[in-house]
Amino acid sequence: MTTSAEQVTGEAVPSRPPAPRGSGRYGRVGVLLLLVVAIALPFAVPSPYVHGLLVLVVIYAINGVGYDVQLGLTGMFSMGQALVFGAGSYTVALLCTRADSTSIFIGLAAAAVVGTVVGGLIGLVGLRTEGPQFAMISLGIWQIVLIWVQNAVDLTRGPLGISLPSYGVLGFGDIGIELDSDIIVYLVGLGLLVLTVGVVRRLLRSRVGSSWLCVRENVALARAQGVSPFRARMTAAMVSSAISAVAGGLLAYSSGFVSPDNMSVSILVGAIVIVIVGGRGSVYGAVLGAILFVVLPEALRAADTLRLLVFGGVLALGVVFVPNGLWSLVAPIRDLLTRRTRPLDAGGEAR
Amino acid sequence: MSGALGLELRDVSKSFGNLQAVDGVSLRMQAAGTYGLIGPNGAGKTTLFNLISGAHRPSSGAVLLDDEEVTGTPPEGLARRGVLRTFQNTSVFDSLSVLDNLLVGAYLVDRRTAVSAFLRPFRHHRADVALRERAEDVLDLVGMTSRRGVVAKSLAYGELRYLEIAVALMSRPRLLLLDEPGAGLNEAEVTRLEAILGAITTGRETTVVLVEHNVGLVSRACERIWVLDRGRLVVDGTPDVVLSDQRVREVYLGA
Amino acid sequence: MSTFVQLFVNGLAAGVTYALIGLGLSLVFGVLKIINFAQGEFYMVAGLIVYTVTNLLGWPYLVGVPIAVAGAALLGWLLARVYITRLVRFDETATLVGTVGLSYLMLELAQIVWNPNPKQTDLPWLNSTVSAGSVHITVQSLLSAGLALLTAVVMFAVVYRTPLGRHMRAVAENPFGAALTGIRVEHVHRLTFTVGVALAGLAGATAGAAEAVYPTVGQSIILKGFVVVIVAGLGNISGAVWAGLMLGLVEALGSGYLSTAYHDTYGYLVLVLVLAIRPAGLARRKAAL
Repeated sequence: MTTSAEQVTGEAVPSRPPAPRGSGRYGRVGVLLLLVVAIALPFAVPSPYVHGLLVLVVIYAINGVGYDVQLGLTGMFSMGQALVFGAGSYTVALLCTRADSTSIFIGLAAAAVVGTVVGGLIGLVGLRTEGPQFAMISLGIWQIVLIWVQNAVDLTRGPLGISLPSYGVLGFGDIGIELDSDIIVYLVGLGLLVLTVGVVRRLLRSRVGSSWLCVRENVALARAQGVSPFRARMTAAMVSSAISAVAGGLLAYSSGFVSPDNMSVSILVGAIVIVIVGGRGSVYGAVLGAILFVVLPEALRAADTLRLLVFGGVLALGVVFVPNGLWSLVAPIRDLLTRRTRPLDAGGEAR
Repeated sequence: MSGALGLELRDVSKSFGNLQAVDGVSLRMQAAGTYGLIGPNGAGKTTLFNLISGAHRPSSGAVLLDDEEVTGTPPEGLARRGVLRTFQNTSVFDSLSVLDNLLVGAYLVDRRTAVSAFLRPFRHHRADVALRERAEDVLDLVGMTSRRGVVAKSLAYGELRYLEIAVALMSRPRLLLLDEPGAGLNEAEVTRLEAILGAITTGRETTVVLVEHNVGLVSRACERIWVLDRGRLVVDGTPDVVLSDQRVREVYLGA
Repeated sequence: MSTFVQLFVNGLAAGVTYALIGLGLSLVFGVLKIINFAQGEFYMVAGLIVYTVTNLLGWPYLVGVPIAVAGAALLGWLLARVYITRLVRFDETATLVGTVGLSYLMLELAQIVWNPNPKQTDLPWLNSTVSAGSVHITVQSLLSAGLALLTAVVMFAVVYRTPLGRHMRAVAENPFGAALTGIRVEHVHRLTFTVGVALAGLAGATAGAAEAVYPTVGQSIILKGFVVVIVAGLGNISGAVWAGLMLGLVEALGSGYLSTAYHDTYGYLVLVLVLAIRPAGLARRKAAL
C-alpha cells in the first residue's frame, strides 16, 4: 500500500514533515517540571495529614483518567465504575487474606485483570443497547453486585469489611519495601498515574483511540468509516475498567481496609465529578479535577455529610455552565504560551 | 485489496409498511466510472442509496460488489470492503479540527495499532507519519490545506461538503457513494466540487456514484445516469440520451 | 395456591407504583429526550411531605396526598423553569450527568431538612387489610391502585385527546417542526416535566407513605423505573404501564419463592438475562409517545 497521493490525484506529491503534535517541547518540559514538584512535595511538606491527601489525590486521579476513557473520550455514561473500582479493592483484599500474597505487583496486576473482566461483562450485557439504556443497565448491574457483596458474608465479610493483615510489599516475596508510609504509597501511586496517563495518551494515538473518538462524535459516520461501535465501546469499557480497578486496589493497600464502601455511590460520584470538573475528554483535566476534588473540600473544611450535596450541585451546574470543564479554560492560555497549533492533542482536548 | 469496485443491483425492493420506496430496481455499474442517480423528490433515491451503503436491508433482491453478494452487510462491513459514503445532511466529527477529522476517520487505513503503540515504537511512528502524509495529500486534493486547524463545526457549509468527501477519501474508497454532494452549494462551489470529483477519478481506482438533484452537475460529471421515479428505474444512458428523453422531461418538468 | 394468589395480588399492588414511576420517566424522555435520574427523589419528597403533614401537623391523610403531589409538581415546575430547559440543549452525556447531579443534590438536601432516619406515617386504618377468602390486601394498596388507575386514564386522555397532548406529541416527534408551527417548545417541556415528576410524587404520596420513607428511598425506586422503561422501550408510555405491573409480579414471586434479600434486583436480573440471551436487545421502539 503506497501512501503518496498518486492514487487519488494521479501525480506524486512531495512528502512533508508531519504536522506538529503531542504536547510539544514546551509541554513536555512543563509536565516534567510538575512531576519533579510532585515527587518533592511530600518531602518538602513533612505532614502526615498532607501525605494522606496526596495519596488520595493520586488514587482519584488514576480513577478519573480511567473513567474519562469512557465518559469523556468514548461518550459512554457507565454507572458501573464504582463496581470495577470496588472489584479492584476486593481482589487485593482477598489476595492478601486468602492467598498471603502481599506483592503489590501481583495484587495490582490481578486487580487490573479482574477489572477488565468485570468491565467486559458489563459491556457484554449493557452495550447491546446504547446511550441512556447503557447508563441504566450498568447502574442495575452495579446495584445487584453491591447487594451480593453485602450478603456474601463468607467471602467478603459483608458490611464488616476485610482488614488487610499487611500493607503491600513493593517487590516479590520477602525482598521489597513495605508500603507502610503514605510517602511510599504516594510515590508508587504517582508512578502508576504517570503510567496510566502514558498508556491512555498512547492509545489515543492509535486506531483504538480513533475508534473511541469516532463513536463519541458521530456513530453513523463512525460505522460508515468501518468502525464497529460495539467493539470501540467494548475496548473503552475494558481499558477504563482495568485502570479504575488498579485505583481501587491501591486504595485497599493504602487504607488497609476494604468494605462495600469501596464500591459505593461516593466512588461513582467522585469519578463523574472529577471528569466533569476537569473537562470531558481531557486526560490532564482529570488529574486537575482529582486535585480539586480532594483538596477543595479539605480546604473548605466541609463536613462529610455536605460533600455529596456539593458534588451533586457541581455536577448539575457544571455541565450547563462550564460544559468543557476547567481544563478548557487552562488549555488556551497554555497554547498561547507555547504557540503551537493543536491537531489531535493526545489529551483529546479537541472538545 | 485495491482497485475500483463494480456494483450490481438485482431486482432490489424496499418497502416501509405500505410504502413501496424502491420497487424492483436492477442496474449494473462498471468499475472505475462516475455514475449518477437522479429523480424528483420522493423518487426513492435516498432509500436506494441507503440500500447500497448498508444503512437499510432490502426487502428483497440482491446487492453485489464485483459479482460477490453483500446483501444485508452492515455499514461497517461494507466500509471494510471499500464502500465509503457521505451523508445528505453533511456528517462530520463536529468538535474535531479538519485534520483530526481525517486522522480519526481513517480507521480502516490506520496502521497505528494498540500493539504497535506499546511494543513497536518505530513501526508505530512510521505508520503515524504515513497517515499524516496521506491526510495532507487528501487536504491538498480537496483544497483545504490552509483550513486544517479549524474546528469542523465552524466551517462554512460548502467546506463541510468537501471535508466529508475528504474523510471518506482517507480510507481509499473503491466505491464512493455521495449523497447529494451538490445540495446547498453555489455555482462556484459546485465547480470546485466537480474539480474534486475529477481528481478522485483520474486514477481510475474509485467508482463514484452520485445521488443528485442538480442535473447540471450530474450531466457534466457522470458518464452514465439512471433516472428513478416512484421507486422504479425509468430510463438510463449517457447524459445526452437521458436528458433528451421524453419521460425524463415528464418526470422532472411535468411536461 | 392461595400463596400464589396472595403473591400475585401483592405484585400487582407494587406494580402500580412502578408503573407510575415508569410512566413519568417515559413521558419525560419521550418529549424532552432526557432520562431523569432524579425521578426517584420526587417520590421521596412527596413521601416525606405526607409524613410531615399527617404525623407532624396532624392533618388528615387524604389532605396530605394532594398537598404532597402538588409539592412535588411545584418543585418540578421550578426546576424545569430554572434548570431542565437549559439542560436539554446539551448533549446526551451532559443531560445524564446533570440529572444524576440533581438527584444527589435533592437527596442530600432532604437529609438536612428531614434527617436520614426512616419515617413511618402512623395511620393504622391505611395499613389495615381487606380480606377475600385467604387473600389479603391493604387499604393503602387499594387506594394507591385506584388513584393510579384514575391518574393513568386522565393522563392518556390528556396526551391523546387534548391540544396540550397534541403539542406534547408534536414536540416529541420533531421539536424544530413543532416550533415552526408556533408551539412554545419550552412551555411544553416545562409542563411535561412537571406532569412526569408529579406522577412519581403521587406514587410516593400513596405507596411511599404506607412504607417507611427516608431520603435515599428514591435511589432504589428509580431502579424499578429504569427496568420498566427499558423493557417497555424508552418513550413508550402505554408499554410502561404493562411493564410496571409485570415487574411488580416478578419481584413478588421472586421474593415469595426465592429470597427476599434480592427483592430489589429481580427485575434487573431478568432484564440482564434477557439482554444476555437476546443480542438485539429489547423493544426499542423509536416512536415518540
